[in-house]
This record gives sequence, C-alpha cells and structure tokens, in this order.
Amino acid sequence: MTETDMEGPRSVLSLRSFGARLGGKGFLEGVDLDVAPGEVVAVVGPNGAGKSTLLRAVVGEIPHEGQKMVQGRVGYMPQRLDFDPSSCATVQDLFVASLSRRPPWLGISRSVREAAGESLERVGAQGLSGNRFGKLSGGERQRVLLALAITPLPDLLLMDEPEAGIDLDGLGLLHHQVGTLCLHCRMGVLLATHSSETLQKVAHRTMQLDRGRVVGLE
Amino acid sequence: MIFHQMLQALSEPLHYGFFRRSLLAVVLLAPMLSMLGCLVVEARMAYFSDAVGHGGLAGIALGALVGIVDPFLSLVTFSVMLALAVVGARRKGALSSDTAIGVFQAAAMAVGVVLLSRGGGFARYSRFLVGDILSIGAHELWRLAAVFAVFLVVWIWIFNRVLVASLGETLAHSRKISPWFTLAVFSVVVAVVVASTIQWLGILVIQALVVLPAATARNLARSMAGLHWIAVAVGTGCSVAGLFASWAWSTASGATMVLFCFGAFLVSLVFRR
Repeated sequence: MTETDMEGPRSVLSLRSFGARLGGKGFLEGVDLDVAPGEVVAVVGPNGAGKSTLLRAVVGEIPHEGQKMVQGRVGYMPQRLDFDPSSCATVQDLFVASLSRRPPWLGISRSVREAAGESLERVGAQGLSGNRFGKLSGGERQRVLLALAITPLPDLLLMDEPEAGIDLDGLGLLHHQVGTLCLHCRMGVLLATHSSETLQKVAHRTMQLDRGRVVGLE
Repeated sequence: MIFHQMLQALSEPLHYGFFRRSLLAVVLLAPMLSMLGCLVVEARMAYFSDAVGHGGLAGIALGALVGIVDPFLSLVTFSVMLALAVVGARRKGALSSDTAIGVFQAAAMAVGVVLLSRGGGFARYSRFLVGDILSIGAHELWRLAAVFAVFLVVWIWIFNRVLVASLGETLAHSRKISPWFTLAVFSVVVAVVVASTIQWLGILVIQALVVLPAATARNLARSMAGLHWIAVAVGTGCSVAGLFASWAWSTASGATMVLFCFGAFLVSLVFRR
C-alpha cells in the first residue's frame, strides 16, 4: 500500500492506477480519479461492479494497490447501519459513540451536544436528537447518517447509495443537502449510486464501473 | 409485626461471615455482568458469551489435567483462548459468526466432559454447573474486586468503540477504529468476566445473568445511559434478592438469582416502551 502526495491541495482525493481486492467478493483495478473541493463525482455500475469496494478501499478498510492521496478528513455515510431496530440507542448516543471517548452512561459533554445539534440542524433533522435510531423512518435515518458523516466537517465525503429506503420527498431533500454541503463547505463528494435522479440532480461528473474496471468517465 | 419478622429473617444470614462475603461478591458480580450484558445485547453477541460460559468446562478439565489447582487461572486462560479462536475464525471468513461459535463451543464442551468424566469422576465438578457463591473466600473476594476494577477501566475505554464497530466495519474504519481489534478486546473482556464468575454462579445460569438485566432494561430505557443504569439496578437488585431467597428456600443461589431477574423481565414487558 502506498500513499503519496501527488496533486497538491487542488484535489481532496487523487487516485492513480488504484486497485483493491475484497476476497472473492469483488475487485477493482486501474482507477485514475481526482475529486476537487466542492465537486460531486458519482460512481455508477451494476451490482458487483466495484462501487462499494472503491469506497471501502478509499476509507482504508481493505488494502489497495497504486496510489491514493486524501487531503484532509474523510467522512463516510453508509447505505445502512448494521443496527438492531429494538436497540434503545438514540441518535444522540450514536453521535456520542462516534465523537467522544466518554461512554454515554457517564454523561454527554456540551461540545458533543453542540456538534450533534449543529450537524442535525444542517441536514434538517434537529428534532431527532433524542429519538431512538431504530424507530426513525427511512428518510430520517439517511439524514441522521449524513449528519453523522459530516461531524466534524470532512474535506471528502464518501456516500454509499444514500437513496436506500427513502421516498421521493426524502430524496429531493437529500439532493438539496448534498448540493448545499458542496457549495458552502467546499466538500468533495464521491457517491456510489444506482439512482438516475441523483446523477442528474447532484453529480458534476460520473465514473462508470463494470466488473472492477473503469468503462467511462464524463 | 410482619415487618419486624421480615427484617429478622433478612438479617439472620448476615450473622454468618460466609454469607456476608457472598453478599459482597454478588454486589461486585451483578453490576459487572449487567454492564457486560448491555453491549453483549447491543452487539448481538449473546450466543458468544453463552459459548464462553459452556466452553469453560474444558478450561477446568485441562487445568485439572496439567495440575493447575486454582480453577480461576485455567478457566480464564482457556476462555480467552477460546474467544480469540472464535474471533480469528470469523476474521479469516472461514466460518460465519454463529457457526464459528457453535463449532468451538461444541468442541470445548466435549473436551471438558470427556476429560472430567474419566473414571466416573464427573460428580466432583458438578459445583461448576450450578455454582457455589456461599463458598467464596476472602482471597477470592479480593480477586473479584480486582477483576471488577480492571473491568471498569477497560469498559469505559472500549464502550464507544464497540458500539461504533457493531454498526458497521466501514463506518468504524472511517472513524479510525479497527473493528477486529475492538472485537478481539471485547471478546477477551467477555471471556475474562464470564470465566471469573462461573465458579460462583454456575455454567448453566451465568448467561442468564448477563442477558436478562440488559433485556429487561431494553424494555424500559429510552437511551444507552438508561439501558446501562437500569440494567445495573435490575441485575444487582434481583441478584441480592435472589441470594437472600436462596438462603431462605435452601436453593442454588445462581439459579434463584436468575429467577428473580426473569421475574423483573416479565414485569418489564408490561411497561415496555
């Protein structure tokens, strides 16, 4: 695995001859890509094309080949959480677990409360802090996951099929929020998606993958 | 009058040193197992902690075979090895989670039973099945207190990490948390706590004292903090009540504590949120 400075501060993510292997489940090779601040690059392709493998390799979960340069902090928004719906963990508990070393049963610091409140407000989910995560609707969950991913504000946001489980209104809101984050926070976004609407509404460029190889970049 | 009689019945066993020691042991054991249960339930590892408990039989047997007199050492050592073997098998992807646990549990149980039953001597070890908290000595009580103190430190350090790791591996990596390392440390904590309490509470019921307080608290709590403190209150209260009841009824202490915890669980269903 190598990580090298290549493009300087212009790109928040630069990949050169980038590849990764995920056991027998997926592979990826020969990816060259730059994501600029404020830019949304959508990654599309059929199931098994390597979209999630790409995101997981960029996060550092799986080893990669080639060169990777990440400028600043990375935020990750999963498609869904591996979450027991009967859990009594609240939205605020998830923020505490992600941001703080102090367990929620020993009290929640003011800084964590404020950071959570600010992010939830940014995505229009300010009233959900005390709600159980397992009781939220699909759209509310995705907004909370987005708020978690942008706390603290990342330079590069990775989103894995964020449209999963949300209705049309929720999708419109999500597009608006991603657009706002890029515009106002100059956040680069790498977004794996199946949704043609997401492509039209938020993507500046599209990278098409098929069986682990790039077959189109426009 | 009735109140006075009840008070007398409650205070009567407290005249005995061994009962006071066992009461202190319960006050250490119960909160520790209840806290452990919160994350065991959240991370869906109830089957794992059960397996560690049952696998402890092999630890006792192997300890006896190599001449380790104190079952605490052999129990803890073997349970930690068992826990790490399960985590290793899961990480290599050789087996699914529940299959890995099932395979190692079955093997450990079989080894334990075969070794302990050689020459018809299994009856000598039956105390490990039902536990015997009334026999705890001062030295063992201090050891339990030390385990509790170390547990608290590790627990505070690892709690948030386990919670994040249980939500998803990629999410954990994005937060600079190694999910496998976290899982391994958590598994070792489960193994050490379960193994160090088995001989007092019994292999057959230890799992219930891990899971029942947390399951009860889940029905009542609105947050993780609520889950934690309700579980500790329920686990400790029911275990102390169970200890006194076992004295009055001349029953096995561990199993009686479990019955009280189960009663609390049934009541919690009525008030379920």
